[in-house]
Amino acid sequence: MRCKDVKKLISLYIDGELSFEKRIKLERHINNCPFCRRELEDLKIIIKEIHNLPKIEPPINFIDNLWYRYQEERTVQRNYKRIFFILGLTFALIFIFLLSQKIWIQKSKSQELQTFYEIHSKWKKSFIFEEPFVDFVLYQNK
Amino acid sequence: MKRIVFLLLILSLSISLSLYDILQEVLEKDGKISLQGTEVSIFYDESGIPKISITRVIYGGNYKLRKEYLAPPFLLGKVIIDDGIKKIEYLPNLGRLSISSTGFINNSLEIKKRIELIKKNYKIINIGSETIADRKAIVILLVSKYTNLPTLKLWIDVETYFVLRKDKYNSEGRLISRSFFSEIKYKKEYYYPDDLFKPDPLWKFKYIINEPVFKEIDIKNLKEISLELPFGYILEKIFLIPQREDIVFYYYRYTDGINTLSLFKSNIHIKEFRESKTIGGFRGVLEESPLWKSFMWQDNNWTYFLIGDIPYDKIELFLKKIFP
Repeated sequence: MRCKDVKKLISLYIDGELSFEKRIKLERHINNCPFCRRELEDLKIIIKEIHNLPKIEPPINFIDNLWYRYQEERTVQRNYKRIFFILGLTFALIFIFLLSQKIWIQKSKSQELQTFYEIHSKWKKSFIFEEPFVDFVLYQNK
Repeated sequence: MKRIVFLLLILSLSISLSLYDILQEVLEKDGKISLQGTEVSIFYDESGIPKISITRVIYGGNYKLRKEYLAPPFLLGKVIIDDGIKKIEYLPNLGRLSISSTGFINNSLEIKKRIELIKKNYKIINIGSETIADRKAIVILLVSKYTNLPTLKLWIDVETYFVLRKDKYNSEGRLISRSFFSEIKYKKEYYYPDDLFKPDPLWKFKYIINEPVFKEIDIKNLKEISLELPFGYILEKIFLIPQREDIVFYYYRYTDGINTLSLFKSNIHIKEFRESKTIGGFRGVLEESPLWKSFMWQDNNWTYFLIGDIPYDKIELFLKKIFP
């Protein structure tokens, strides 16, 4: 058993909840390792001190208050969740609306510009000076 | 020595005059010749991969034309017909029909004006002669007097004055396209039935762009826009394009004899999400393609859209000259 394993199991050892096999292994390690032994002793002191603390009786309505606070916390949390949900939904709807507007404007814009390009490039006088390859620029990627 | 120089000068002048005459003859004969052939057009964009379109072309004589696209697939089924009055372009893949005025210049005065403009803005150089689709052709090159760069190279049939091949260069002198007839057969006039030059009743289209509803505005009353722009461009026509009662579109068409430059002005606010830049004090959006550059900007509640084959470093000059 290594030191880090002992640290994990030391609380269970004090509470007497370790299996026989693990307890033997842990004790062997503690006997040989001054650091872990020191930690075990410190922990035993702390526990002993905790046990020596005077007992305090809770107020009569302690459970009621606790339950009330708990409910209050839950309500606040629920409200926050609801607010975040509504805000998120609103932002999502606004985003979708703006995106669709932008797409629509871009589409209508490109139609106007496309018309300008076509009028410029195709409505010329004289076939001799006409540019038949204009279609490659205007339509190839449509 | 002086006499030789003088003679050379006279000779070169007479040659150059005859070349303008040839070009005038080309415009005069355009639409009057009856023929059928296959035209191949190659577009050289910046991708490095040439884009090729193939069309079956029928000229019916008497200002009639039918052009059917055989390739590429995205243009398959496209038909252009012209009956000397209007030009109709049907694009099945977009479900669209465009009706504009005829592409033929069937007016002698207009041809003369066009030639005068070409004389003013272009030098013509005789390159020599070549054979195209078994036809003997004279090759001429039109060079801009402003940039000294080639603009158009034409291979003209010496017998019929029909353009068998043309190479087009952009304002920066880069070859952008080549169109030539791989085969051509001249026919007698009125050889083709009239139905070939009428819209097919089976055409299906969702919408029509119709030029005849454009209202032409008299240039004489124009005050807010310049009649002339750099590089010899002059204002050719102004149209009012009806959209809605509250929306106004003006279309100003400039020409230098060969190239066209268009200015659109509208009270509609066209939103543009691309990055804008400032050119000559105008803040707007610039877009470039091998064929043209366009610049859109807003000023005094008007949206302006300029499009044309303008050299990049001259856009500022054009913008500054738009308003007198």
